[in-house]
Amino acid sequence: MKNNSKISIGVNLLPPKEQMNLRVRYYTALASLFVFLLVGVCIVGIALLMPSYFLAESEAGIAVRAMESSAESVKLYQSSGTVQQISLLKERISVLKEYQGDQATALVLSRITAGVADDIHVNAISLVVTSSGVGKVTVSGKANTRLALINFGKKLESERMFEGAVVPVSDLATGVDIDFSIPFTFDVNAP
Amino acid sequence: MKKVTTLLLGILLLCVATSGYVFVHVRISGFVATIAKAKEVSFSTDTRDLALRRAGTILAETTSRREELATFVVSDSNSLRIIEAVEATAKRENVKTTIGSVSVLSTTLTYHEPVRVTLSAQGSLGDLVRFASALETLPEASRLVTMSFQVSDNHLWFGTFVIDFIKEKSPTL
Repeated sequence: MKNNSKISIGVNLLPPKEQMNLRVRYYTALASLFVFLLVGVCIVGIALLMPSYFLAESEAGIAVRAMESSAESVKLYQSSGTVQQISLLKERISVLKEYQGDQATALVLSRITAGVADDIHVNAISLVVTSSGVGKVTVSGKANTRLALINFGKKLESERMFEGAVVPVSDLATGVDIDFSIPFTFDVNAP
Repeated sequence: MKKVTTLLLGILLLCVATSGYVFVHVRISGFVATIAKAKEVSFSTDTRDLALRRAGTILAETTSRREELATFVVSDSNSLRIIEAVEATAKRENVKTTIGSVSVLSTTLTYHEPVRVTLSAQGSLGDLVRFASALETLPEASRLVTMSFQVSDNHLWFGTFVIDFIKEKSPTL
């Protein structure tokens, strides 16, 4: 070993028990320092979070009060019957639209009677309205001749609002004084 | 022993400080969640509130129109108006009528209910046709459902009519 070396190696001359004791004290102090450092970090963190805490608490209170106020307002309107009145109005408009009176009857009957010639005697007319301006009609009566009945059927068929006004073949079995019954449908809105 | 006590005290303080930090953090998260939820609920409630306010304004502005609409519907307290309307029309059209039945039909409507009136009438075909036409033009909300005419031997026509009127729904007990 050279004497001019800049590194000097110390020799621990303490007894091993003392050495161990010193080592324990050193590491305990180091751990304590680290723990207190962590405590400090936590305290600083808490201190930094406090403004956010109070701000969030205040904002939450405001938001909840605003929500309660809105709910209160809605409840007030609901209790005043606004919703019921709107529902009533909606239903009333829809009902009045459905039950407005189509005035289809007069039109249908006038078209039927317009096609009745002298040799046709209508005994009965039945009319069933299935929906707005639409329905079924059955015209029954007696025709003097087969030709008169066919012509009556053709006249009904020529009306655009009537459909299916065909004289049943069974009604044409007899030549004179023919009892007939012609069922057909009507649609007053037909083009 | 003194060093160990310091370490133990430090650990204890660390536990307390960590708990405090976690507590504050959790509370802030809770507040943020509350704000988000309250804002969301407030938004939908505000939208509803606004719609109700607008509806209220519309209702206030259309009071007279709604009252006018209401005149077309027979009120529950004035159901007799239906029969009176039919009889007055029959009289006006020179037709002799007999009311067969008046019944309330079942319905899915909330505020209205149909009332079915079945009646028979007799007169000339022209009178019956005019009567049918007049029934369709009643001011009361109504719909002629079925009708049938039949001539008798003495050339007098008989008619049967089924009309549905709309009236306000009776309050359920």
